[in-house]
Amino acid sequence: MTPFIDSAIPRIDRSVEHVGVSRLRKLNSDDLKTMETTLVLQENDQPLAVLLKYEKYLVLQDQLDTLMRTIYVLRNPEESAALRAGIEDVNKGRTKDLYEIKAGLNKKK
Amino acid sequence: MSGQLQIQLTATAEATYSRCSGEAEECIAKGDESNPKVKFFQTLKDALTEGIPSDPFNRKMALSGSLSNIFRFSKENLRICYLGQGQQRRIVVLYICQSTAEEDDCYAQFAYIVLSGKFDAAFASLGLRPPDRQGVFPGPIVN
Repeated sequence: MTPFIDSAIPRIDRSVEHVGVSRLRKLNSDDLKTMETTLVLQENDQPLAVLLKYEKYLVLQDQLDTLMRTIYVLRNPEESAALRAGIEDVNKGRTKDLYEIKAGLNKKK
Repeated sequence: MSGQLQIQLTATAEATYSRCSGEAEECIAKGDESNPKVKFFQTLKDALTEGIPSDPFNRKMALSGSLSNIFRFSKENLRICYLGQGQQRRIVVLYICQSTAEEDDCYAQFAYIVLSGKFDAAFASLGLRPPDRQGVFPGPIVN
């Protein structure tokens, strides 16, 4: 998508529907199974809750966990330094097969 | 997914692996088999022969964004980060490290970063209010 169009035209997210709380009472299990959109439940224009499919929630949860893990690695001085050193090793071809390393260690014994 | 997983170690990871191997051997030679160094090396060996190969490209271990082909395996006090792509059935262990403390609560740490004000400009650019700073979250966990 062209960036200037992005900023010039307000985007409408078709996957999100703003509905009144009364809609919640009308939903049955079939509706929930086939629900394509995420519902923002609101009362008098005030958003109160978000209803989304269970699978979608799990995807969000996994994405958040992934992000948290990344933040942890990058903020941990020891791990981030080791990560940089490891990547530099790969870029410079300094890698060895595990079996080779094991063989080398066995030879030393 | 089929085929045996090829495991390579970077020089950084190899140095740690060799050191841990040596330390474990030394303890065993002294008859100190219950030493934590022996247990740590055993955990490391198990991770490289069973733990990681059983499901090496599980997205639940992946990092995010441009680091998404890097995975982080964690068991007890062992942390292993490796680079991998499913099609190649090959991983390169970037580093091995030993966590001295319990894994920090990443959510608390993230909350701390947010509350520190580092993201305020980003919030403002999105038209969002900065978060309430009145002691909802715990303080930072320092390593």
